[in-house]
Amino acid sequence: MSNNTIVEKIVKEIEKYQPKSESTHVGRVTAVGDGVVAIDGLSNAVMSEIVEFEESSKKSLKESMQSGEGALYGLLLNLEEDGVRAVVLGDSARVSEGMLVKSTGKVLSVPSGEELLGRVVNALGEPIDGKGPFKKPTYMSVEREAYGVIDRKSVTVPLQTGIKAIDAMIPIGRGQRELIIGDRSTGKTTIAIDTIINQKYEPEESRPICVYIAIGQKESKTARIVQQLKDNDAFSYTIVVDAPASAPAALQYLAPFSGVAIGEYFMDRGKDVLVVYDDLSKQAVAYRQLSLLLRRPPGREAYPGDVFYLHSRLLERSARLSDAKGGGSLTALPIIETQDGDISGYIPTNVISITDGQIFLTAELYNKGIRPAIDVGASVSRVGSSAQKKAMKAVAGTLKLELAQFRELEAFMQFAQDLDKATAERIGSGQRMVEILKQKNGEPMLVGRQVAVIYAATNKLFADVPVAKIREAEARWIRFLDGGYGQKVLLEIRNTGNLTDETKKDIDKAMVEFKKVHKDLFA
Amino acid sequence: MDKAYAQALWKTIQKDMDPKQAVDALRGALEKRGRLSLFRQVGRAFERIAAREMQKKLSVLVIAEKGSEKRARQESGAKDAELMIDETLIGGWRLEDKETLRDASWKSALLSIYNRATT
Repeated sequence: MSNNTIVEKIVKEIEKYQPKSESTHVGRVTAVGDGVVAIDGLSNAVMSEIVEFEESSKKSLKESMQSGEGALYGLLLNLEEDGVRAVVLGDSARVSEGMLVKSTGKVLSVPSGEELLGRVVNALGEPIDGKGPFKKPTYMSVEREAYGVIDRKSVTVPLQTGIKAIDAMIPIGRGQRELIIGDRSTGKTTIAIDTIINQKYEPEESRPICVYIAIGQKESKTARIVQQLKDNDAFSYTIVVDAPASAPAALQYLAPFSGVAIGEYFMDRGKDVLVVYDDLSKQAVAYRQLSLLLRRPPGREAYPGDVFYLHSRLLERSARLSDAKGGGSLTALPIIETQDGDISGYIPTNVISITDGQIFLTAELYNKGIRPAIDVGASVSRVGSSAQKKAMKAVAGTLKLELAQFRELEAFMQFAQDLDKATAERIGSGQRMVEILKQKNGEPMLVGRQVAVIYAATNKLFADVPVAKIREAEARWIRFLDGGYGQKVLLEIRNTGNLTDETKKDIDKAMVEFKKVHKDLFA
Repeated sequence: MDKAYAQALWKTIQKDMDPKQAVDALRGALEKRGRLSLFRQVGRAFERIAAREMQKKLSVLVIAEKGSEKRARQESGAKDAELMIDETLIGGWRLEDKETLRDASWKSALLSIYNRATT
């Protein structure tokens, strides 16, 4: 906006100015420290109300205008006998003792709407990508009660992640809450980002809107993720909510609630939404910091008593709505970081018990080069199987069991000298299956291809291929199908979601042809 | 701890207990618990509470210049309010009465116009 435009606007406003005095409910800051403010007064304030700090008192008009930092707000979190306590939603160095605090009568809300797509916002919903303010956003309350039983329906529509191991063995449905849990650097974020990228293959009318919430992450990591989404044409249907490690604890605590509120806007309008919380362990740590500063009694590991409620009320907002409510859905992929693979920690067990399943990643598998490093035995999807495509269910039904048996035999193999033929075959088959389920990051696979690959693997197409050549064989098999022979099969699986006897026969024929063409692969 | 004792003392006095009797009772209680060293700190905390509570009861009318007192009192209806001069208001008046603020200053009006025009 040019200076002349601003001057014109101000002149017009002054010309039509009518003197008036509005009455505001106020309090005064009595103490401030570590982002927490004690306020005397505001006896009519309500929980989670937003208050505004009056920075202009004692400052001249010129000084107030020159500060250019915008209004400073606080969020009331403690209502006490002789005052209230609030967390500062910004730089607490701007607050001083004796400062006047105005009640706004509003609970915290964030802007949402179509214009947020492809944008990066902070925990208060303010744009931080330099693309300017939103024009006509709809404000959504950050704290909202989750939908009740009557307003919901069962999870039956799959949410394709594009990751073979997940779509085959731990399927996720739209409206489900599936936890991604594991140590640091085991590929948790990668799974979430690949899932977002994979949504670009969905038809536009049913493509989920994605909300990625970065909590306590490095800004460089978030910038890399945004770039990755842009490079993969996935940013146009994604909103990034960023509360970096440098942001005050209050904003890190609020970010997941802001993100889900933004997602709810779309769910309420009958759309499907995918929300990734990366990660909730850092949110719990931020909440612990706030609670201790607010002098709430500490409990286990110094977390406050309501840390379970913090996550349960957040994740309960995921739902698949009934047709009467528009049929929208909000799928949650919360991420939790464990310490040394310990899933029995306080926060991990809490979130495991809240969610509808978990994908457990281990550093051991990751270091072995098995990526995604999913521990199939400890991973589960409690509602996803009813949402799995029939074709996938048909080919992957026994996969989890076979892999679990292989893991047992693999352990036994380390001690045994001579193995009988049947055991050796089973181990070989397991090793090939592990290779088949490996997948590079940023390369999600379409469901038709996944079914064709897993069908071929379970029907011994790759039985004679050396383990070291399995990845190459898989790539060639996909190219072979794409090259015209299997186009019909892939399309049919994708469109109908079924694997008919006729389709199976077509794949069998393709397998025979493939063996003839790629003789070099088969030892 | 000193704040809690001071708060308790304030409440006791508010409930019509004789101040001298209340202070003696507090001193006795602290002595009994071996915490008499807190007595001075409690006194200071009590002073702060009293000042704050007095402030709450006070009605303050803030104006930009002495000459506008009559008009400000008329417009705000604050006949008995304590008067304060704050030149940064430019014009108009501000009335702080208990937990309520009425702001009819020119500074706040100009600031809100500026904020609307620039955001």
